[in-house]
Amino acid sequence: MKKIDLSDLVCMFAAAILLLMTILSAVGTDRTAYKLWTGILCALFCLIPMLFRHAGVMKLPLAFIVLIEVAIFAHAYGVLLMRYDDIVWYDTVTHTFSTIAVGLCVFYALMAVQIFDRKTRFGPRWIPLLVALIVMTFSIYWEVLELVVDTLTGINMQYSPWDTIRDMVCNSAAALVVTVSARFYLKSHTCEGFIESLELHPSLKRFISRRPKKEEQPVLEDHGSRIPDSMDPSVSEGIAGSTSSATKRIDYDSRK
Amino acid sequence: MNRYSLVILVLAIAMASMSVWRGDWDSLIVPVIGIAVVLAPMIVTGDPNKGYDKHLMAIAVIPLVAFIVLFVANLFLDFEYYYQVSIAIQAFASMAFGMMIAVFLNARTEISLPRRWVVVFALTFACSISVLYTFSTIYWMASTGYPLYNGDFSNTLENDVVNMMLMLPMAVTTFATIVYAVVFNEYLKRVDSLELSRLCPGGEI
Repeated sequence: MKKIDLSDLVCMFAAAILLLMTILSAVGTDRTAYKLWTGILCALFCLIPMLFRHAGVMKLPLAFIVLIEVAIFAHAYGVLLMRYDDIVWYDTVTHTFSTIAVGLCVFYALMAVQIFDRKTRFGPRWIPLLVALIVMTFSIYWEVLELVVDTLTGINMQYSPWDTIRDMVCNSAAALVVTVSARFYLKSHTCEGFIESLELHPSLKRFISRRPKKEEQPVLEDHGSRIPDSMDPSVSEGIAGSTSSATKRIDYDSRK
Repeated sequence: MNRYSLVILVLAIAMASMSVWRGDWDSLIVPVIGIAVVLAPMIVTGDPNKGYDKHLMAIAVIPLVAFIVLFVANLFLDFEYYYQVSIAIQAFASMAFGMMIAVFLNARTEISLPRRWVVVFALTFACSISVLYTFSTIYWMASTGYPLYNGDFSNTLENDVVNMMLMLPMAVTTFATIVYAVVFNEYLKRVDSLELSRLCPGGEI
């Protein structure tokens, strides 16, 4: 059993407050089941970083855990205490925090893939681009989910077109913040150092590396060397001539 | 210039011309991207025969032809769901061009994306393009006097109807690209992985 550390205390504190707020809301107000369930689920989500650490799945950095807790807590607080209805800019703040948290998750995941999946290489210059594209896609999925829930259940998650567009602008701005931060981070850091600090579970490493269990443990290595460029004269020869073409194919396969 | 590149260029120019003719500026985005993507290997290498794998180029032709057919048919038949189908077709084209961009990056940068990542890249690219449609739609709604703000709505139903108008491009693209991603992933299994990592010389048709 691992010792309780500061990150665990942050998780437990956020979860406890949310549970307490949910109970008080259930007892003293006329909150709907949707709002109460939001409180309960968010409280459970607050515990996930702690559970991950104690189960040996991964150890997230404290700053990131605080960001996750703030994002989840702010959302649940807004739903339970009707802040989304009362404060015009509240939705803007929660969307921005949540998108930054999701963006960092994507960034960490891409770094892990870069390290463990030998068939895939993003390179430090292109990870930020992928982060931006994936985060934008997630933000679209979220808005579409809101639309579907509104249509199917009749509740009002999307207040108005203006609200939707403001969400999208916040998400885009937050995606930009993560993208720029990722670019600057990778200028002075390597992926290996950070991924090593996450202490990922071997099964998770194997899953990312897409190797069967029988094979050896994935090796922590950054596939940073440049691919032979098909436009380089040497490679162009390979494409043109049958003998060299085979060589090029072998080169490519050896990267796998 | 290889034949597939030429066909895509001609179709993309035709699609762009139709969009300009109808004043449908959103539909201009995809053909412009298509022209840029097809010309990029030629410009970068200085070789007018450079293109992409024929399987990739072939699937990019399908949505362009489909859009032109739909556009012409709509002139005479005035389809009720023209806009929705048009968005789905443009999402198809965006994904096809997204895959080409991924191959271009594979060939010209340190990136190395296997098949599944090429598809993921294309999916995220198509979804990101749909955000541009949404921003354009809100501008159109604002300029034509639609209710936009929370206080403009008297009931949830009215709100849902107007929200649906705004969300249509993103919603259609979201569901369409998930289907396309599954199909493209299967389709690209036919393509040699080497072909997804290099630009192809012309004449490989």
